[in-house]
Amino acid sequence: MRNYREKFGVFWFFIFLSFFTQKTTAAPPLRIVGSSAVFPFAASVAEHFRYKTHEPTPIVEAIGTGAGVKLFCGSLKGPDAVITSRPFTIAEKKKCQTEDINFEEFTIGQDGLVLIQDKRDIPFSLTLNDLNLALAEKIFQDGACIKNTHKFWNTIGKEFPSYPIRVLGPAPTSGTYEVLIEKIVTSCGPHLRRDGAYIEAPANENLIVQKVLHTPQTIGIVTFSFYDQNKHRLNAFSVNGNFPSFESIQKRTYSLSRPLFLYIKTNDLSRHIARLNYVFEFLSQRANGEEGYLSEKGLIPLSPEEQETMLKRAQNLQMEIPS
Amino acid sequence: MTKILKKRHRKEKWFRRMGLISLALALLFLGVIFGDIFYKGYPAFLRTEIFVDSGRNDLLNPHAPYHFNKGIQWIIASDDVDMYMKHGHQGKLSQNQIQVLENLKKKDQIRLTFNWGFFTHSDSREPELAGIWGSLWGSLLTLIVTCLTAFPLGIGTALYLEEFAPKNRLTYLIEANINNLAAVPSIIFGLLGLVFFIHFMHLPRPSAVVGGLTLGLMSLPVIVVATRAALSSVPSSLKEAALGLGATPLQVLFHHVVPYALPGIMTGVILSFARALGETAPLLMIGMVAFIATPPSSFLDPATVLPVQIFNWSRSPELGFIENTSGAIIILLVMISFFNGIAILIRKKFES
Repeated sequence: MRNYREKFGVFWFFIFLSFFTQKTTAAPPLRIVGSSAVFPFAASVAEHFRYKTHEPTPIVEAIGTGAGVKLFCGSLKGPDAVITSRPFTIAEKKKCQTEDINFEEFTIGQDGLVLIQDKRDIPFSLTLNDLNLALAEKIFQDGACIKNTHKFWNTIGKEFPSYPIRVLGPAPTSGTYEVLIEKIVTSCGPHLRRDGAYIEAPANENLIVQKVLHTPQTIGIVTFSFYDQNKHRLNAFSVNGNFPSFESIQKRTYSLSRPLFLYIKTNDLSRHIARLNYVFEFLSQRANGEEGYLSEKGLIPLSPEEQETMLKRAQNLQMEIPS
Repeated sequence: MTKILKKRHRKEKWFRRMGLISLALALLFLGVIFGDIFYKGYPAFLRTEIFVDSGRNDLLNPHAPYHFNKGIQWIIASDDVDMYMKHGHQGKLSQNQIQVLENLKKKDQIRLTFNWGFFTHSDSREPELAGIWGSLWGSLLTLIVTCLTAFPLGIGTALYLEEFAPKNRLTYLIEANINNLAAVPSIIFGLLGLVFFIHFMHLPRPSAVVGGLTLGLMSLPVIVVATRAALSSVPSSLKEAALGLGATPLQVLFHHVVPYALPGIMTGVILSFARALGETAPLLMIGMVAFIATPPSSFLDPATVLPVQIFNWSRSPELGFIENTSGAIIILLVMISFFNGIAILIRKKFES
């Protein structure tokens, strides 16, 4: 009798297992990897994409721009799309070509790097040159590159408060760091200071906000969406005379702004029409318009002309699909 | 003589006091951590809803338009409204919107209710809609895989090593290695999982199988060590008596040794599964840090687990995710204490 019951137990166990292992018949969801700066927006679009098309929600993984592109160009079976905070490099394009991967680039919006401080600190405004003097590892002085030894902001400019130079920002693995290097470091080597004046924070911008709020006289570098969510307790610095705002970033008058990109694989698009539909959702007025849900999340939308260009690009791809 | 005695008493008193102080300190830390988490997390179990006739779509959650005309009376408000109702943060609300909200309050067309969605929804980019259902399923599936691999392998290894293996240099080496493995940081197992299960065996990337196997590898040495400790605590007189009465070694093992050691074994196993349930680091290596809004329906489907969900939310810009993070931590703590409670119960039951 006991033996009999045991056998039944095994039987039920396998029924239980098969319940979990049944194959789903629906098409596999889109796979999107890449920059953690674009992740919040790409995931938002993924959610709306599900409601609109009734296809499975795309899976979005934030693993950083570099790692994302590596996966994307690694094999045809890899992710369907990659989100980046900078365009592909020549080497990356070559890598994709050797794997026979065709891709198309879309600009999906603008983002700004915002320097923030606690609202209780004294605000002051900076120029790119000030930032170079404060943060570059080596600075150009008297015709030579010398080690940066500035310790206080008022040694850079007399009008600044005597705060120590203490800036929390992205780590070198992120695309955001590369943008910082590109914008503020001039001829003396592509590094920010490593003597404690520039502090690399891991890829958690909430942490930077928290630290700025808890340590007075500290400056943080975050992407616009994080500043946008914490406006009530943070000051933003003006850079080269412009404060970061939707307008100044969209028109690129704010110096620390950058475009964000989405790349999709265009091989065999007729079988992967969802990729194109995802791009259309990203570029739609509902998402990327002035009042779209992405701007609600802190993405600075494309200007109407740019949006037109990008839509054209997507429509061309759609036209090429043999029906 | 009395002097020495006094000195000894003083020493004992001091020792007791030190113990009390360290206990108090530990409790204080625990209290501060729990207090902080509960204080930040309890608003996650509340949500703001607006009566459907209010006519202001800008105050509702961004997915509300998909659900109109479905006979729903109360609609979940947007996270800005939610923050205003709970904490008074003005956020991105305009003066006009705040006016409207105050009017709605007077007309009782806005309310704070229990946030069922936090348990029944899956991940979302909108804090007011995000929930833990998907990641809870992911955790369950992952843990099933972990159980199926680590339990039989771990117990089998321990039984063989303790009862049958010849004592020579090789088994000694294996033993030392297992003890070492139990102390290896969990992220190393993540790397192992990445190389072996994903690059070599080509299992699907963020899936419960890979996560479960990796966590299984991680808990294997712990289970082996705990099981062996339980087995070696069985008095040898018990075994000798059974052998003396003519039982085969196998009979001795399964009729006497294992039942005697079972409470210890089960405690070790359950505790290591509780640890696997709360583990994040190795899962980061194998790509379970993803936005996955549909709960997994099989072991091969893309899945994420509760601790990784917490990690993901903690990185999101929206203020609403701060309380969601703490809310999910509360759930995780409750689950882990539940597991530990079961471990205690089992020990008590088998001991009597």
